Amino acid sequence: MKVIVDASSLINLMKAGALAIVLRLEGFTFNIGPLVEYECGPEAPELTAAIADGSIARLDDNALSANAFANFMGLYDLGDGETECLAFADDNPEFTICTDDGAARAAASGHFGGDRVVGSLFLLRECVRKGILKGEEARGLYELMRKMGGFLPDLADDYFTG
Amino acid sequence: MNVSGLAEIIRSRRLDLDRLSQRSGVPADRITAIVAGADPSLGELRKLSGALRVKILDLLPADSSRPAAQWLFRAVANSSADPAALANLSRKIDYSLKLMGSDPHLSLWSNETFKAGTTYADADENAGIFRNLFCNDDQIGPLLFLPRIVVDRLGILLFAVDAPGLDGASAYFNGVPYIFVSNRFPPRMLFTLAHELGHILFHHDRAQSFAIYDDDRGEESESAPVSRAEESYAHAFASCLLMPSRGVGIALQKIRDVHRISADSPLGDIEVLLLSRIFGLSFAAAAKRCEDLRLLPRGGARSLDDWLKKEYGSAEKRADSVGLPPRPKIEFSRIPDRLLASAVEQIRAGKISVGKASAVLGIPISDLLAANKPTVH
Repeated sequence: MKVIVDASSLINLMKAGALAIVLRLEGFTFNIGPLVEYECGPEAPELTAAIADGSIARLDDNALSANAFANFMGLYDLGDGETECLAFADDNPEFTICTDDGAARAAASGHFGGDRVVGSLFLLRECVRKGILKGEEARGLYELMRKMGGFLPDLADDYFTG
Repeated sequence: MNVSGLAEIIRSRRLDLDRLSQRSGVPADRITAIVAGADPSLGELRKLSGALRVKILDLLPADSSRPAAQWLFRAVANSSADPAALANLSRKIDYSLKLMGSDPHLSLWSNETFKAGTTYADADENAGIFRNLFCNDDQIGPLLFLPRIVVDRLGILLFAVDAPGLDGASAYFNGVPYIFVSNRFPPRMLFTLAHELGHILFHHDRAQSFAIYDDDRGEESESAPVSRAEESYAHAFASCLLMPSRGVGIALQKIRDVHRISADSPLGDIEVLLLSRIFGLSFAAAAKRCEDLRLLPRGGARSLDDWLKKEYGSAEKRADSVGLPPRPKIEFSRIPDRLLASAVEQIRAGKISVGKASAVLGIPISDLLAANKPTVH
């Protein structure tokens, strides 16, 4: 799965110390646009390291039309990083958008279909399925992300193990 | 593609395209082509917005479907005012309404609360009425906590903004009062806040949407004579509110007792510096108030300020060189607490995205997450 990650998911994962864990998922490639990278702030050493070692690929926005960006901005009134994700996903049908933001998820699902939208919790559950994390470890990370202020939904008890 | 916003910023800032090209990394001929209608890449717009220190949105045409706040400041600002700064203020008003609705939080004063008038004495009297109503009738002390009073007691939405060319601005929109203060030396911000408060209290009709935009006039903003009657009155109100005459008298007496200065000595730079630090104003503003209180001769404030700059580099350097106590902290939140709380609520409900809220409110996404942390009682 080719994933383009939004700042909301990246920040949640970084705050729980879970970014390096989900980047170990086999069969996944992770991508980031410049505007999302900027929104993650200057003090994001895990992100810097992941980009430096190639775990996250930096996308080139010089090949991306500003028209698409402006159109999505007009359509959904999201932030720059979220809009950039939509524009890249529009340009590359293989991309699945990873965002933890409710409004961005609704816009992306409405535009591209729900099967092209995931969030950090999906990635944690994939880690459990692939044996990288135990169910209780994934739940602990989810609870930590919520404790750190992540805008995340309530989950069923068996979300990570069901 | 229409990037009229870019063209407008280049024109209003009188930018040299070669310099913009150097700063942005976008070739000058590409900038010319983009302004003429060629389709830019997102990368080019991102680099240009970064070099201009504006949002990408500011490079695009203004959205005519937006509420009138979009045009509110454009109607009143000087034609040389930075269009991106105007758009920034308008967006904050638009999204404040979107986040909180147009229900005014508090309404603790009416037109009858204050004395009608236009003179310095009227402004002084109204400053006293304000202190009586909103500062527990403290007619003496410094008002370093004025930002908190404005937000909590008057229900004004106060924003500290990074806006080139702006000193301060105030507005009523859909019945909600707003004040914008440019981020800079905190005593300067305090004076600007009091000045804009003067406009809100005396020059805005709450029944109508209305705005006043005060250009940055450099250090002279607080001390130089102002031409328009409304500006002059707001200046006088700010000065009297922040340095009440009784408070100045008491503080000056104590300063002279401590420093053993005789009562009939002319006012010196150290005394004005101490007053400025006690009352949280810049030296220039404090000296101007002393001049208005006839503690300095006419023109004395400007002369003293010029002399300090010439001899010591600045008034603050002079104060530090003689070991005056440091300035007390004046705290300005970047955005009102209740607006932040509303934003968090709306993000939770999926009505606004965290990225949009971050951009409009001018705070990092991580600050919105911090505001969403569960509270433990």
